[in-house]
Amino acid sequence: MTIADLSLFSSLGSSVDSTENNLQQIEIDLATGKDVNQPSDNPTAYAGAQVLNAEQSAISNDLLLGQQTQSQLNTASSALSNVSDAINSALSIATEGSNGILSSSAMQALGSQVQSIQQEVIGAANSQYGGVYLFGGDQVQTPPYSAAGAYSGSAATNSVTFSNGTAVQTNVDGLAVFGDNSTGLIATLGALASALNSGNQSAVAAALTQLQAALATVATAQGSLGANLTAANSVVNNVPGQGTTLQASLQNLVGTDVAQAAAQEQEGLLQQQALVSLGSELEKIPLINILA
Amino acid sequence: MSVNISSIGISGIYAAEAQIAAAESNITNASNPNYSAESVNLQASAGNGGLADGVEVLGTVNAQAPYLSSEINSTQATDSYNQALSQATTAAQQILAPSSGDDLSSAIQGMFDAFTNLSASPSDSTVGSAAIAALDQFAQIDQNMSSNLASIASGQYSQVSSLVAEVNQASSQVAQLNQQITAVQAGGQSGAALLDQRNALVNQLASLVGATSDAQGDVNMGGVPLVSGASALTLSTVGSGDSLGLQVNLLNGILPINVSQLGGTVGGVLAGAASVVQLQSQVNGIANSLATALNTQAASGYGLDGSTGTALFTVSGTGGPIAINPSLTEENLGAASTASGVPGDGSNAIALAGLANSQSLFTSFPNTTPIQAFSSLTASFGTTVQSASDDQQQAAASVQSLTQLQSSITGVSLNQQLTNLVEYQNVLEACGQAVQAANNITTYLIQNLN
Repeated sequence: MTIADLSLFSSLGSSVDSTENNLQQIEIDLATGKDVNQPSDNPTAYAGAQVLNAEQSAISNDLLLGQQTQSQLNTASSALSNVSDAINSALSIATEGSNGILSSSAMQALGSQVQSIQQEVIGAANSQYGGVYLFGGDQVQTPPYSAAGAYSGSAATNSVTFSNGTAVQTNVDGLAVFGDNSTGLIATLGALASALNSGNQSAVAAALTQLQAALATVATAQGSLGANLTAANSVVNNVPGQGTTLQASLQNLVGTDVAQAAAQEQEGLLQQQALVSLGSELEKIPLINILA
Repeated sequence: MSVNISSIGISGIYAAEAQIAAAESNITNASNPNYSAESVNLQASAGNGGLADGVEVLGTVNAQAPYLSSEINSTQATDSYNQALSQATTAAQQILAPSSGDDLSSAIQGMFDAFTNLSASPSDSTVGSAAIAALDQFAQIDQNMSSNLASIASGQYSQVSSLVAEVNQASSQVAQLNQQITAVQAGGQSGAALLDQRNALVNQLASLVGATSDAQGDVNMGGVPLVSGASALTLSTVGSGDSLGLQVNLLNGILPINVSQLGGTVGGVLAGAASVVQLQSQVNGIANSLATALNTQAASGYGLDGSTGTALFTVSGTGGPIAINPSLTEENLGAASTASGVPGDGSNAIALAGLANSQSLFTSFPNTTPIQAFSSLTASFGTTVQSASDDQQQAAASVQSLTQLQSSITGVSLNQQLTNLVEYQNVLEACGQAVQAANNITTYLIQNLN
């Protein structure tokens, strides 16, 4: 078969082009760390990577939101611990005030201490994290309690639902835990202070029972917060593992096998050198070079 | 018996000169891809008693491989079609899946992440602003994608007029060549150079519109005649944009062309444009369906200001891109609550975020979540791009292989031509010497017979 000169060189040119294209693709794969850089490289893998990337975005968001929720719940829990301590102090004072041996002035001094405790409780009930009030239900932007203990919060609460479906309540209806100036703990502390100031021992004794009930209420709220905190911790703690699994899945789907790509690159470079050498040899073949 | 040595030698000189001229032409055109190697047809002259009496030059012919030419034209049409289709769809793919990763799926996920954050802090204006920014980002990406895809499709359609002009010019030239070839061949010549020119033009027409030709140079395009003998019909465009069509102008009327049956670059450009227009419609379809679902959910909720019924997006209803509701604020964003009177519990933000897992929003993509619907579209379009690219590479390789095969039959090998040249020079020299010998004999006879 006659081999036309034009087709000989054209064929060589095509082979060099093809080798260069392959090398270019390998270099892109190595630079990006991905075999699949656009949908047409592998449509199914690219689409799968899109879904995985969305999941990765969701769990990254979970991590930030989970950490914020953890901090919020920890602050609330700490406030409730302080309130428990305050109730215990009030219980001691009430016990002391109910024994009938204190003078009127000593009783008034105790009453003054209870008033301080009441303010301490109101302060704890107005706790905030990052500008968000924690015990006002879904009214998070204004202090839920006035200095007199009036409640302006809401019975509704906020919760966050993470991408795995876990829902965590992020704040508390303060009225249900602390009451206000007419019910619950705050009212009890107010009544106790008045009873101590006026020397009304039976009222002091009645406050003792109510304080114990309030202590139980706070303990229940703390338990509830603890459960929410555990759920938030679980989400946050699972994120790194989920991220690693997603990253591994992504790598399997679209990642470059670096060793294989490097070997292919070496092979391509060798091929390119061979083709260039072949081209320079071809130039010597025409008879015109021999006859000249 | 008498033998005219001198005339035999002279005929050989003529034959060798013709062969040397053919070889020179071949060598000169060695790098011309549209050239077919020429050779000289010789015939022995019959003398008295049937013996050879020199050689006669019948004419110059060029090497032909008609079956391969036809195959090359057909494969070239496939190559050009897929190249044009691949260019359009690859450009659209970069809009659909930009290397930055800022595609519609990331905007959709960003929006759902923002609703999740809003559910935890519905009264936080910073979180509310971030949610509105995420909604705007979703609308902006849809608008940009839609506009860029429309621009690609428009660019495709705008190429058609100039391609049609190329088709008409090539058809007209083929018709003229048909006339010249007929005239030259009637005069006993092969018209080799004219045939080469016509083959090149037919190949161009195959590449442009997938046209085919017969041995007489009549050209057809999808069964519609473009060139018949010395007459060429003109192709023209009708309509514009995605209603652009083609027609052949007959002497008495027009013949509409079914563009879906067109091959070559024109067919590929139109197929590419149609594919991009369809993609634009699908992207907007997903955005519209999702925006409508979000609007419905948001409108059923209440904002921090207690208002209800506020839409998040403006949905055109004609399949166009969506836009964010310009009057949407952090206060009237219907994410705060699902019931009046309790603004701020974030319950409707939870419901909005929950749409991320809804599998009943898209009739075109049943049983898929929004992210899955978009990734299905990406996969489907990626397959279109991949298929066009693969088909183009395969056709290009076939064209190359067929062209090499054709070249082995009709192309010029310089080595072969140089060998021929040496042989023809030797023949020329030998014939010259024969004429010289005849002359010497004649001179000797004249001198000695006197």
